[in-house]
Amino acid sequence: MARFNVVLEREECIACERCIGSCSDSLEMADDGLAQMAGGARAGNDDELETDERGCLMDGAEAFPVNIIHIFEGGNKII
Amino acid sequence: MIRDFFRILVVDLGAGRGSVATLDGRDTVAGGSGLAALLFDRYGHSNRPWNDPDQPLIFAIGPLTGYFPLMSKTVCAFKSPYHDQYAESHGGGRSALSLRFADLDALVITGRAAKPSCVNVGSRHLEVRDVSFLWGKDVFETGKMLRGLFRGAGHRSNLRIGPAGERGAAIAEINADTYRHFGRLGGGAVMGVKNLKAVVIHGDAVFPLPESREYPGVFQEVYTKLTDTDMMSKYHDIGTPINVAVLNELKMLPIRNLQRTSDPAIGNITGEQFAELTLLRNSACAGCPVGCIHIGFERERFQKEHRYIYRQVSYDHEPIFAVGTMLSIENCFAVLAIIDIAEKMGLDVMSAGVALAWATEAVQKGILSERETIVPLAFGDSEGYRSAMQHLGEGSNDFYRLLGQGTLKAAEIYGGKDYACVLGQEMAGYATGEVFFTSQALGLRHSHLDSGGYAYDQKETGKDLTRAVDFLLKDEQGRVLLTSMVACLFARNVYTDELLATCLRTVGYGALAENLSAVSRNIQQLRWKNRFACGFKPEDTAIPERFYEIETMKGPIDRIFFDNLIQEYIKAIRILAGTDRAG
Repeated sequence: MARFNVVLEREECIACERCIGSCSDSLEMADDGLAQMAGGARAGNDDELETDERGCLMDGAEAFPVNIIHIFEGGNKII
Repeated sequence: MIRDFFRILVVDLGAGRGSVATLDGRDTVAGGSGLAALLFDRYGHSNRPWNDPDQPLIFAIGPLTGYFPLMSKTVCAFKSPYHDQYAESHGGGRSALSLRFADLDALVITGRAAKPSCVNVGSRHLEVRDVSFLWGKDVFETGKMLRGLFRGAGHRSNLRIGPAGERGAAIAEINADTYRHFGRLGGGAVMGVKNLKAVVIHGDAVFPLPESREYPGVFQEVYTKLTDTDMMSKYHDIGTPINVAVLNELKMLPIRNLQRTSDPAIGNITGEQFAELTLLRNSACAGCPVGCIHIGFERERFQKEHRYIYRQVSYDHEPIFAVGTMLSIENCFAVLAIIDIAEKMGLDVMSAGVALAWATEAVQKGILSERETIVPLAFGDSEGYRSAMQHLGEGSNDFYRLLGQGTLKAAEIYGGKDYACVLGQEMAGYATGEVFFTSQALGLRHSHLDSGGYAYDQKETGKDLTRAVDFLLKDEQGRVLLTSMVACLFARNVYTDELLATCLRTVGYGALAENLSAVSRNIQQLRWKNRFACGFKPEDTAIPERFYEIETMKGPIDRIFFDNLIQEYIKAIRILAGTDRAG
């Protein structure tokens, strides 16, 4: 099991595209105009990704204008 | 339809970030006033003071914003510094359409920024930007800089505060796009205490119109009704200042701190005079074809040679009353000069004018002197009032800081409560009689627009308590429906319930259209519940003696009728809000 579980709340994305510039390895714009997780799995309206490396996702979670990226470690929500 | 739920952007100033929330309730609260009340219920804290950082500042629009003419206003809601209770203030400019084109039904701002900041929001961006360099700048300088800092001219709304809001004056306004305001009950201070200098809303998205075949026809029908009436030509031609001469003739115009209600000298500052001498151009809120904004000018000589600068100053009936008739200023340009300073300072010109009128009478009666007022105050002396308005905006001394919290607050310390012209808040420009005074004193917004009390006084001759109270409640209900759409109340005689239902159905809000009576009642109750939850005690409302002393064309104020009307209206709003039961 991976160390981190990352959830992207796609419905709350405002499509500002700041994620592309700051975390393009993990985040990209989908055809519907909202952000999606590269390599993630779609679960309802959210994207989920299990990963051992937070990489730029933590920076993004902290810096993006809307708080739609949530990172869990061992079941505990970090952000 | 836009959507059958609400899309809200909630901005946390402390975190510098936001979140998008979706809320149900379209079919029960519609939008505007209803949505604002719902959002305050959700995000507000009725038992914490107004300046608690967690208190929300709410801007809400409605289901018809952007779809039909005169659906051009925004409802701003907050816990007011004036009375520490739930309050609404309505404004226009480009705010409503900017929110619509930013794909938002409401903007909720919570928290307190670490440094003076501007919230910059569009359909695809949100930023809380440090604008410390703007702190201390007046409303006009701030607007100029905002226009340079942020893109989107024409589709952008710049909401900002001046020095009065920065220092938390309870009569500080939020300026909307220079010529309009969220004026009353201290929204400017709510921004100030959050270190929020400005909110820039960029309507940068596409807003698709309905594809139904009915829509163009209904739009045309509404547009024709709105623009082909005498009422609309009145608002475009002379504007609301047409009321000055009319009320003067009826002996229903507050003059010289309401010492009198009619004066021949008012002939120099009627709406007609303003138009003849000062009017440069009209302007309009986005989404309105009427163009009721009248812009005059003020000229200032800046060199010994004849060199002048000029400033454009908007005027309406209320500012003319507040700093014209109430101060006995009998020159249009002098009135505009005082309005200009109030605007620069970010003061609600209505409250500021009434406050200075009280201060002037207090000077006359010897309870105030230049030790408090710094400059001489005398009815008719515009130079004194120009300086005093600046002092009031800046809070130059203890007296002006106290006066900026409200006239009654100052009167409680210095005396003179009897002639403090306050009905819930500083009075509006009508001295029509008992029903209007009751309406403003006890109305939810303490606004002359809460209900048509001023019209009732002019048309009705009887003293039927039940009839008057029924009118106030029903008229409020009708207006609350309009301000949930969000319509400009100038269109209230065109947007009947039937036409509103047609408009709503045409754009896909069929369920809402079928239930307007129940919805408006629900919204009316929800607003009152919010107010009462914040500690509103209508029984504590005291009417200053000055309001009992006046005489209109109908005769002297009937004290017994007035007092009984107040008691009956209190009972009625308690029943409405469900607070009439003991315990």
